Order: sequence, then structure tokens, then C-alpha cells
Amino acid sequence: MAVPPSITSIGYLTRIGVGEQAAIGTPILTTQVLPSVSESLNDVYAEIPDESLQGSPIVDTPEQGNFSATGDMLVPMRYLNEFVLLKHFFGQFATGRYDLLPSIQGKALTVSIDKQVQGVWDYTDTKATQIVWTSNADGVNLQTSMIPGALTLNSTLNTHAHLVGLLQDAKRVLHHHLRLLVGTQDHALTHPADDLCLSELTLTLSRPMAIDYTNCAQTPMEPIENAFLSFRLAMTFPRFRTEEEQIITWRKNYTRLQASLVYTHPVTGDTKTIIIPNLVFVTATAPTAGPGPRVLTTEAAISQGKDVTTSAQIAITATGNALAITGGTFPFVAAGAQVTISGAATPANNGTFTAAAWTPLTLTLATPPALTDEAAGASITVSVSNPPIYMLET
Amino acid sequence: MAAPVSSGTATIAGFAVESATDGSQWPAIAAAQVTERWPIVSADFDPGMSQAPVVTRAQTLGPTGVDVVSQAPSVRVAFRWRYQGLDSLLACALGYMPAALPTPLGTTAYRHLYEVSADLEATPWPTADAQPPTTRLVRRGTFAAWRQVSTWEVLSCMVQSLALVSDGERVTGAVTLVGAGLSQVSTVNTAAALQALPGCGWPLLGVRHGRLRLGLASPTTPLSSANDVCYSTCAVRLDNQLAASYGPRTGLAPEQYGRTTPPALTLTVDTPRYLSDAWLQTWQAQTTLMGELRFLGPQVGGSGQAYQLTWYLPALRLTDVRPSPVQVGLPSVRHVLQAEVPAQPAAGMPATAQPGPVGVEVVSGARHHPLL
Repeated sequence: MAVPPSITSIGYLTRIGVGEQAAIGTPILTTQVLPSVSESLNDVYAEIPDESLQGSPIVDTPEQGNFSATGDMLVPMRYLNEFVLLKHFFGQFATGRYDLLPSIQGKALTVSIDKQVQGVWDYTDTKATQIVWTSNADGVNLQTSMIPGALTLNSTLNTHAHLVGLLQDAKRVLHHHLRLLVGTQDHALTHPADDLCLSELTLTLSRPMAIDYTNCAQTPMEPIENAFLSFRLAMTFPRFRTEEEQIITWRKNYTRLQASLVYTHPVTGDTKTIIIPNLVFVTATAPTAGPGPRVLTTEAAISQGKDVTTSAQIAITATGNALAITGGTFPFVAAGAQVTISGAATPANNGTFTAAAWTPLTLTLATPPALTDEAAGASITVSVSNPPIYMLET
Repeated sequence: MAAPVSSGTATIAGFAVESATDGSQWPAIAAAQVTERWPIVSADFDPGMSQAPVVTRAQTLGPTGVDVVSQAPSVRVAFRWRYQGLDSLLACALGYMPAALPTPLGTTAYRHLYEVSADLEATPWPTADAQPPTTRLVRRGTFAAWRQVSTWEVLSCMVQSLALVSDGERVTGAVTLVGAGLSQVSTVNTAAALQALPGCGWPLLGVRHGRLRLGLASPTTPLSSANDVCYSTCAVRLDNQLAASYGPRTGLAPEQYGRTTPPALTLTVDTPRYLSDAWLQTWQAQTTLMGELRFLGPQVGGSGQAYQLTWYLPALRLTDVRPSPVQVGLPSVRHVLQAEVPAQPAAGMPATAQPGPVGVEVVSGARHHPLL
């Protein structure tokens, strides 16, 4: 009998593809290559020992329990549009904008890894439960924690030839492409007034998910969110200077802030922008660690920013589809935020709208629906619910 | 030689039904000889000795002694449920299987069908079973566990309760046996005798080989795959409601246990997520259901027949449907069902001698009737 040639699984030969499944339980042909540095997806069958007492200190053969798989994938970020991992984690993508859905139930990825031995490994029904965006001198990396639902070896769907044919964007997102703007919520962020220069940032977005099993399958049920989504932004400033001293005041007062992380490719002009409309610093420390300059380390909690304003000095104009306030200001509103108007004299002006633009004195709403001209006078309440985070790309 | 030290891993246990010709005695004259190992997970013995301090007017500084008032030993045994080796336990717990069973299925597989009997005391066999008048239907036995220091025996013990729990990882059993006496000086189930028992190779029940079906009770439409319920935990529990008085014939030990009320059988099903109000509405409508919990294992030898354990529940009624409290996270839902005596035959379920609330069918390599 002919001995098959030996194949050695090698990291640098690995190709990883990812695709968005149309339905749970249905693997899909991957559409995007992930230029990953590493992956640690494991597949484990629980061991169920037979602990019955049979007069011997040695147990019988254990039984095979439930299948579980978890692991991380580290991907150097590219200026690649419609980034499948991010689309999946955020849940919604349209016209260059990633928006966070409360739940990604019904959505899953097929992650295909060409490991050479046993061919291409298809991890299907894979959910992303956490992404960590790290930006430092080594580059900008996206670490994604995944929960695959099943594993197929020697995939006949995602073959080696298919993965080789997937194109990848070579333009890496780098730390020195970043412009970080952080400021209070009483103005639109501007460069250079709101710039902060830092050595490292880590943005962690978590969707805690429950993994449940039943008698009907050895693989888990579709993991779905079982706790509050949480978001943190950790930043390290290499030197504690007067330029950063306001962070100490913001942290002391729990001042509600906004932030923008704008990455721009210096040649092509491609951008990746992360908008954080509502955050507060929860820690800011600059310990003395020797004779050198102190390093400022901070962490901010990101949450949903909600505000309400009631005023009889709000005029509504159909031209521009906007509200203007005198004798006060509108609360901070991020583009895409949900705005609810009540109390307007014209019934059509009441309802829930999407914000298009904001200044402290003017709030522009997306159309449709169109607003109707209405002079100030009625006691109008404007309720704002800003998303915790969203992402733009061009 | 070193003194023996009791160790769990060295324990050898077994359960044997008492002689069918010895049924008129309570308790049995002698312990039953265990002939098969029962691979238990734990056994919690309770000597059941009730004592009362002796207090007299003559001595006001404290009691002067202790009176033993009663002795009602029991043992709670936990085990991994297996397709074979639990025949005696099932027979004693439910109480009856026709003498004509088990039925051969090919050469090495046998079908058993246990059903609930009205009594668990030693009684004459039903006429239809055509058993010799010198024998009785005896539903009690000896539980013995060699604990290295000595063998602990619960004599003439009866099944107070029996539970099967399928919890996502394991299918476990729990039984409470109540007996007439507790001994550490066995002359029958000696260390040598128990050590000489062959090891057991009976397959364990696997959770994912379990199939629970629940649907509307019907004499014409059997349960089908449309009635499958995927559970995170499923438990069926039989409580025989046994009680006994003390003496004067038996002294401090209990008289033969008997049922005080009909046996209670409940089915508890936990589903991991709250997805529908259908069962809640079924509970509110008090609709009669029927259910089937089946486990299928590997082949019995080369018989072509699979090991099987099936609990048939021809009449069930929901007594509680409750999602876990509203809080952060995903609520699960607990469904509790009471098994009832069916008003009509249930389609697809085997006929039993009496239309009781449960029938337990076992297909295994055990060829003998455990009560004969």
C-alpha cells in the first residue's frame, strides 16, 4: 500500500476566510480573507468520567460530553471596507456605518482555516462575543473572541483553492494614522483643540453570551446575549503633562465626554472612524515609578447617553428639517442618535426621528419624515438617546 | 497487617430481592445474597434510631439515661443510570411485571415492562400469572455495601422513592430504601463474596440519547417527532408514600411498609430559554397530556436490538409552568407535570395489566424476571 506523503501544518501557510451566514446551521462560502496573526480556536468535548464505585481506584473509560469551542483571533486591522468581523459584532452595516444592535441573534459567521492537515477547518455558527481594538506602536490589531457552534474538518465548501482566491486589502491601519479627539459634550469636537496624543489605547466591546445545551444536540444552542453589553476605553499617555491635566478633573467630576478615533491612511485617504458619544473617565493614575516622567494611565466607561430638554423656545423649520432653540441649548446629539419630540403643536412634528447633525443651538433631523414649520411657543420636549458607539469608514 | 480504612473507591455494593418463597415473613429470615455489583456513586446510610432522654422527678440535674424509641434504617443511594443491572430496583420500585416477561427479542436481548402495583407488601401473585401458591410477589430486598471495615446491610428494604435525572451531562438515579434493620455483621454478603462478584459492563445512559416527547393525550394519535422537547434537565420521580408502624410484633423495628396514599409520580422538565407561552396556556387549560422519555443505547450483543429504557406516561397534567425570575440574563422555564391514571389508553404505548400512571420498558441482556 502506498504511503501518503507527509504534510506538516505550518502557520505561515495558513489562510483564514470568513463569511456571514444567512441562517444559523447553514455554513456559507467565505467572502473575506482575514490576515490573522494567530488564532486559538479550540474544539473540546467535555469529559464525563464514570465515578461509580466499583471496588477499584481506577475509573472506567470516560464518556464524551458536549462539544464546545472558544478562542481568539488576532487580526492586524486593514483599511478594508465592510469588515465582516466588525459587521457581525456590531450587527448592522449600511453605507459605510457600523451600528450596534442590541442582539445579534440569528447572525453567525463561518470561519474557515486552512490548516493543511485535515484540509480546511470550517467553524460554523460562530459568534463574536468580544472585540478588543488595540492601537499602539506595533500597529492596530483587532482581537476577536469567538464561540463557534460546530466544526467540520476537510470542508468541501471552503476549500484551499477557494481561500487562495480571496483577495485581501494590504493597507494596514497604523497607530500614527490616529487622531484622537476627546471633549465635553457642549460642542462639536475639533482639531486641534480637542486632540489628545497617546502611546496606546485599548477599546474593549463585549457581548456576554449564554452557552446552553439540551439533550437534542451535542453542540450548543445558538449563544445569545445574557447580560448587559459593556464597553471600555483604556488609554495610556507616555507623559503626564499639563495638556492632559483636564483628564484628572473630568475623572474627578465624572464629566460626560465624547470621543472620536479617526484613522486616516496617509496616501489613499481611506478612513476608519470610531465615534463614542458618551463616556466618563473612571480611572486616571500617574504613579511615581522612578526618576523618569510619570505615565498617565486612564480608563473610561462607555455607555448610552440619554438626555431630555423641555423648552417653549424651540422653533421648528421645514427648511433643513431642523429645530432651533433660544435661551438654552440642546443636549449633545450624535449623528444617528434617536430623537423623540413631544409637545409640538403640530402633530406631525411629534414622534421619533434620527439625528443628522447637531450644534448646541440647532438640531437637524434626517428625512423622512419631514418636519412642518412651527414657531416657538409650545412646550416641546426633546429626548435624546445616543448610541454608545458606532463606526464609520470611507 | 494494617487496620482496614474505609475508602469510597474500594466500595462494592449490590441489591438483591428476597426469596419469593419467603414472602410471608417480615422481616426476612436472612439477608438476600447479592449476585451482581451495583456501581453506585454514593450511599448515605441512616440508622434511623430514635432516642428519648430519660428524665425523672427524682433527678432534676439532668437525664439519667436514653431510651431507644424506634429504629427505622434507611439508605439514600445515588448512581449513574444504566440500561442493565437495575431490574431488581425497578421491579421493587414499581411493584409488578407479568411473570411471562421478559420477552426474548432475538437471542440475547429481552424486553421487560414494569408497572405500578396497588401494593408493595408481599402479596400472592395475581391469578393470571399462574405462580405456585408457595411463592409470593416480594418487592423488597437487601442492599449491601462493603465498606472495608464491614459490610453494611439494610435488610428487607423497600423503595420509598426513585428518581431519574437527566441533566445535560449525566443521567443519574437516586433511590431511598427504607428497611427493617441495619447490620454490620453479614454472614451472606461477606467481603469475600462481594469481591468475587464479576465487574459490570452495562452501558450508561447518555443524555443525548434521551428523547422526551410531550403531547396531547390521545387514544388514536401517538406521539411523534413533532412532540419532541429539548430539555436542559429532565427528572422523573416516583414517590411510593410508604409508612410503617412499630411493633408490637417487630419491637422497635418497623412493621412491613405499606402505602398510605397512592404513589405520586412527577415529571419535571427544564428548558434553557423562555421561547413560548404554549405550555403556560396548556397548564391554564388543564389539558391532559401524555409523555414518553426514551433512552436508546448500543446494541445488546449481536442481537440487532438496542438497549432501551422508556418511561411511558399515558396521562400527564401540568401543575406548574414557571420561567425563572425577571433579571439580567436569559430565563429558563421549569415545567412540572403530575402523572395520573389514564382515563383512556394512550396511543403508541404498551398495554399494562393495570392502567397505571407509568410503564417502564427496558430492553437489555437481562433474561430473568427479577421478582421470580
